[in-house]
Amino acid sequence: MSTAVHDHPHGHDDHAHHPSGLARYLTTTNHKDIGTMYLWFSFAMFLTGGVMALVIRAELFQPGLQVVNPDFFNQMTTLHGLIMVFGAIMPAFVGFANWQIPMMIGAPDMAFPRLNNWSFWLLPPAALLLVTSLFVPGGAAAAGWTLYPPLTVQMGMGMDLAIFAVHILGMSSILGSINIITTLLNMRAPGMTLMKMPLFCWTWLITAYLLLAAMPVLAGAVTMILTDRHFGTHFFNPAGGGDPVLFQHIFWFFGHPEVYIIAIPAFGVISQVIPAFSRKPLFGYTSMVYATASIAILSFIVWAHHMYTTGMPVQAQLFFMYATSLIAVPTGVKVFNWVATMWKGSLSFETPMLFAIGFLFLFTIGGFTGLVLAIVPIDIQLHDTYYVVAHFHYVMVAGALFAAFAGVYFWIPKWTGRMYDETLGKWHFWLSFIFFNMAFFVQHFLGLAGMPRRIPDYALQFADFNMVSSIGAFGFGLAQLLFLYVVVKCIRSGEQAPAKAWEGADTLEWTHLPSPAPYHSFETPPMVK
Amino acid sequence: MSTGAELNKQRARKNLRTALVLGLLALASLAAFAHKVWHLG
Ligand SMILES: [Cu+2]
Repeated sequence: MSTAVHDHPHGHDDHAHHPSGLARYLTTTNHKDIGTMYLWFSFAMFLTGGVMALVIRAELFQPGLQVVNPDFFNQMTTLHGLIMVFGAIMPAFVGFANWQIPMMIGAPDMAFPRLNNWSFWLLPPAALLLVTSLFVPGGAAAAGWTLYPPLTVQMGMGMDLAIFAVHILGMSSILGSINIITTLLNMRAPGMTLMKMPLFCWTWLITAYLLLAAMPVLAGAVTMILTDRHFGTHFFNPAGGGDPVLFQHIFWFFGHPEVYIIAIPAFGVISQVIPAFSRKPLFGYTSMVYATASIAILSFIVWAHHMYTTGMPVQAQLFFMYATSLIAVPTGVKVFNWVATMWKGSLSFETPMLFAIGFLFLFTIGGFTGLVLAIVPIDIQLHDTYYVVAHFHYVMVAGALFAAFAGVYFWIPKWTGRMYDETLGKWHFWLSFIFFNMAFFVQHFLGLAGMPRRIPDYALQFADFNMVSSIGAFGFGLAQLLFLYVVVKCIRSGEQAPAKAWEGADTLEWTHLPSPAPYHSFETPPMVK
Repeated sequence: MSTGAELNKQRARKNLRTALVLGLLALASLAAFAHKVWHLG
């Protein structure tokens, strides 16, 4: 049984008795070590998935087949999706949760430090399964990250490896969620009531419940594929009385909440960054909490907006259309509150704020194209076109990834005790912003003109925009090497950061702890007024 | 045993209880799902 607070009644040295080197990271139960591991793991996966994206964009640079064969192309789109969603974005925000939640609520560590270690160390084997599946006979899974049968029932053993990887990742997420909820419910410092928690903590509390409800469904869905493949069931095989569309229902019952599992912690980061650089408290804190909870609840009744073209009754189409449109209301509340927080604030535009404002613009574009796609007659035109690809990259990259960048620049002074290079940070933002839009804005036009997604070749009229998109994608990829350089430079030789690195930051980690935050913090809980 | 250790024990027990409830929640999600699928055929 793990105890979160040390048993020694008298204080002890910060760096006493923990192993160093590899053993430290293999055996650590420290939330800061584990947070660091999550963040570096997610960055490694981000580069891996990014290289796959560049293979895709290289092939699509010109019409015709130049770089890879079509089957490998499909493996790239599939692994790119799986790795970015489960390997890069989700672990990044779990990394933030590990570092920040205990410090923000005045707890000494997570509620279950050893479970926390296990949650992290489940990830590398899963990533290894996904990447090595490229080298097995038949190659990696190639049916898209959504894993639709019948393709997934017919594929080679790469598919089995992907299924096992998803199982392991799901297990890690469920254990992590239990840990996060328990920490937030039981470990808060005296006086830190739920409604006093920084919004980032609230967004993770809600996200963890989403994970708890959605991940078992995904695990069930891929297990059904597994039994269809090897154990003679026919869940998804019409010849045996099954139905491939059943899988789509199950998958998207997980898949739509998954979008918010990624987006809601991103909202949390933005809700810390914008007030800090506006030097004002967050506008409408209570409405933010309720809006976030509403988004989470609504996310469970909209799944079939991904399936309008499967031949569902028109009443069902109407229900899912209206329910989906409803999500615009709490999302609108959030965007309004962020803008209202900036209104008449004394704004400054350091890199975290630039990424937050970039998020605000681009995520809102992604939200609006989501509303466009929610409308049945339009979606039937745009289904499986590049318009959809453009839409969800505005949500996932300019939404979640930009928020993650904002969070790294915001908290890295607390994590490392050093400041990053502001000029280079701004370069990273502007390069990312410009090349992101170059890569993805034009994809709206391609989709509207009818270019289908997940194809290695296309008709000649799509050539120009595809070339622009590919140049943008390579530029965006290179800009992320600059990010790596900024982070490494900060760690090695950044200027000393003060305890309160940002004038407007007012949560416990800034007001009560030095920079860098000590290895053990809040062993005696602070009193929160 | 010091009071600190006693408090830790109490907190650990409370944490375990919370985790148990949450684990059951995840299991309930899986059970609801299995139930639904079972009755589809
Ligand atoms: Cu959706």
